Amino acid sequence: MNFAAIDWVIVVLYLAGSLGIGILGKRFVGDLTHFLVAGRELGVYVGIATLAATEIGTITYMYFAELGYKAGFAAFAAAMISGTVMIIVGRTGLVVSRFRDLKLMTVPEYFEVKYSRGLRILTGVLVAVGGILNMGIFLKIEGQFLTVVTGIDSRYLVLVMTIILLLELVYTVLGGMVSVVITDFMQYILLSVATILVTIYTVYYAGFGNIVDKVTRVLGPGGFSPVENPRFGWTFLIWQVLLWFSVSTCWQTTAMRMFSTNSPVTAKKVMTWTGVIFLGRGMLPMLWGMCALVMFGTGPLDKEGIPTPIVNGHAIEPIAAMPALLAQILGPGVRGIVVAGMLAATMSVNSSYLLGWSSVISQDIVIPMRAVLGKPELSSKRQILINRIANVFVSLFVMFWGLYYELPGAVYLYLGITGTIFLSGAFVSVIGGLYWRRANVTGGYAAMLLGGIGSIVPYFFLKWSENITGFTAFGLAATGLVVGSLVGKREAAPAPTAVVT
Amino acid sequence: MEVWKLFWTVSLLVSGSAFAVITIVVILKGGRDMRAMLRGLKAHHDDNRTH
Repeated sequence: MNFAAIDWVIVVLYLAGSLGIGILGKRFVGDLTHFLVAGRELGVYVGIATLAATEIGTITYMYFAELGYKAGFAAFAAAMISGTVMIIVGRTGLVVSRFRDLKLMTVPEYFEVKYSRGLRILTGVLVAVGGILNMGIFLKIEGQFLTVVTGIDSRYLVLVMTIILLLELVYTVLGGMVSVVITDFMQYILLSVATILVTIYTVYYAGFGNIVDKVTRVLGPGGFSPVENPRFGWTFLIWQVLLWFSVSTCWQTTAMRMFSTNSPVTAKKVMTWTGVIFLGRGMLPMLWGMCALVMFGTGPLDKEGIPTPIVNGHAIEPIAAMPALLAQILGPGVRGIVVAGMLAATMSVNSSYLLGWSSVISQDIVIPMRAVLGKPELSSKRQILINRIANVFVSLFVMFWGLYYELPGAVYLYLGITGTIFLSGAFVSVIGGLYWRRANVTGGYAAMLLGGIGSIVPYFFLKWSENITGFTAFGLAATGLVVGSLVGKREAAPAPTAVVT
Repeated sequence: MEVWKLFWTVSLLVSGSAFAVITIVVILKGGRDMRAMLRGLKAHHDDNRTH
């Protein structure tokens, strides 16, 4: 066991505090708007904190550290693209300010505003499936981090992760977005402090000069140039640009923060400044991965020429190298703060994702299906109840999927592909819907279906690389929207008042 | 390769510093935002109850 008594005290205090503050949020929930978009009351600073906390989790640190270990400084390109794209979206207001103007609560809701109820339901299904599959691996990776850093016996891993999931579930179910935002603020502070602490420790121990030397020796020019790195290249860079434009605008958990801001101007500011944070969100953990390469990268080379990490004479997976490094270099007290910070990161992401995907299930699948079947409209309280049930369902799925699913390759790329299943079609349809008058229902269906097929078939059946698959999915979705809209019948969009819930 | 090394070193310094500075600003100014949000929510909540 690597944890001292002081570390346990810090972690338990944090967990109890998080739960208590989260439960307090329930007092402020009056109706569905409060539950899903915090009454659209978010200001700039809390908006930045909650958006950053939502998209910075232990999973983020793990996959970026893995990418840094395997690709060196060239991996920074992914961080640079994500941050720069968000800054561009924030500065221009692309999609986000129009979305905020429409007072939406979920992304698929837009599809009914612009296209049709049927397309909203189809998009809801694709968003929920892709999003939940994406979230499905979180617990496993986060558990791996906790086991290595704390030294908890892996037999107790399932129990530990179940307890953490239950804590998140309790306050998310009770207080919805209000609880999530309040806890996110506290969690953002903790995770940022942990990030800065870990960066100082790891660079101090590995030495920046040693990092540059090791990356040069192991990876050569490919360790610095994303164009020359065989893992990346131009196809990766272009896919990442497309992916990040779509994530910044159409990813449900990100979009919910934009919907929750108190004005379109605030939405733009939140996106811009969080974009700046995203540069560090990527680069800092990648640097930790490179530090782990310096300290442990002494084993035999794998098929990609990357040395296997060796810790205390045992070979481990590259993704476990960063937590193994933290377990070795952090002292008592600091280790507790860092683990509490990582738990904060974990809980803020998981609670937001639980709320995000369950809101899509309730608002974009269950409730529109009831309307299609001619059932009467539900009260705000009943809609919240359906959302809470969906929350529990998503949690159960995530727990079992995380336990039994074996990851095929690099985590970052798996997450990118599962996101692309719906993001390619959704992004293209949203851009077309907002900025091209000719876009219609036929084009929307074609974009969603071709984007989904273009992600699933090449990656899972034809075994194409993630880069080419992502590129293909966006290309097919765009072709589907344009050809479908030109071929399909031109129809008037439904009246927004009839559908905005 | 030297150009890339320099570029990534500068990018890392700028990004790391910006991360730290924004964190401090958000911590200092976020409390006021949070209070305003909760006040707004409470007002709506009370309003809903009276209607």
